Amino acid sequence: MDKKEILSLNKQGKADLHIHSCLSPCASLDMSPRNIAKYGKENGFDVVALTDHSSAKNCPAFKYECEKQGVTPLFGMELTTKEELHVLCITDDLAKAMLFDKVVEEKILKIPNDLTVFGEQPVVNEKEEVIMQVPYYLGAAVDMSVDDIWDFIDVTEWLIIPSHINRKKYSLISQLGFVPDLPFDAIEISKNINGLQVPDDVLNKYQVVYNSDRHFME
Amino acid sequence: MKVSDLKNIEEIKLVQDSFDDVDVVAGYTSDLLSDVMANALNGSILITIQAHKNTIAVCKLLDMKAVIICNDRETDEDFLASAKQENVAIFVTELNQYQASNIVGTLL
Repeated sequence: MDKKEILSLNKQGKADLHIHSCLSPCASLDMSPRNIAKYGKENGFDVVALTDHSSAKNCPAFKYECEKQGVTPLFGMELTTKEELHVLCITDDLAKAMLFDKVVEEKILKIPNDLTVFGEQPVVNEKEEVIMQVPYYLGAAVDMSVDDIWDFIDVTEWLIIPSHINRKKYSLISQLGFVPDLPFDAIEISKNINGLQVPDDVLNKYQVVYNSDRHFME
Repeated sequence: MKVSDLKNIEEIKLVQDSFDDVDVVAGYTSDLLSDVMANALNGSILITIQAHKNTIAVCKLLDMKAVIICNDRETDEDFLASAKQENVAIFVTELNQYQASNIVGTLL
């Protein structure tokens, strides 16, 4: 699917490019790939991207569920870079997403996931059965700078969008204090928060996307 | 030193006072929580500008019972509530991380 078309659908409110499944330690367990695909269908989205924290491991089940619902799935993750800022990395090619997942898995700081602190990180299959728990904490930083992302992906096939850049934590502006000159496809802004000021030149330079950043069903 | 010894420092203000007054034998200064998780000693006092709930999750993971928030950074309600629940003392100071670390260093 063409990147421009995806961004255009987002503008029309028909593409949600930022959703977490149960795999993200901070998301609720009812955020199964099936429930997210249904959420997409019921809320009139043509396109939905599954973007768990630094993992694409629920994307295969998500593809299956979206095809059943007639929603176009996008795959990838919300990467936590070494600067501890969040970047959406999204493609329509599941195989490419899973290859990138391997790279990230190798580079993430391996802090054993303490369930009492961070919560579960289940990977589910097409029958909604838990097939594994990711043993290391997915909120930890990945040893990859924001500048390095393009070394690992084909720029024509991926949307690279810094997340919620007006947020006071884990955002490009909170962590760096400025928006570096990088070939982002768009920038994501969070609505309805007491956030940071985004400079006008940044708003003029990049397309702005708004997404749900949904972690819970309700 | 005990956590409560920090109350005697004029430049450091206690803003969350429900905590376990344990012995502290080390400090760790960092603004990257991944770095704290990877390298701080258990039971350290944490000196940082990261005043959000994830900071408290890291405190819980590493059994840290005190955090000094530097540069007078704003502390959200949910950060303080989470600290209270985990019995982590929260101090706020106008000092920067270097200055606050120096003071803690003299007490350890």
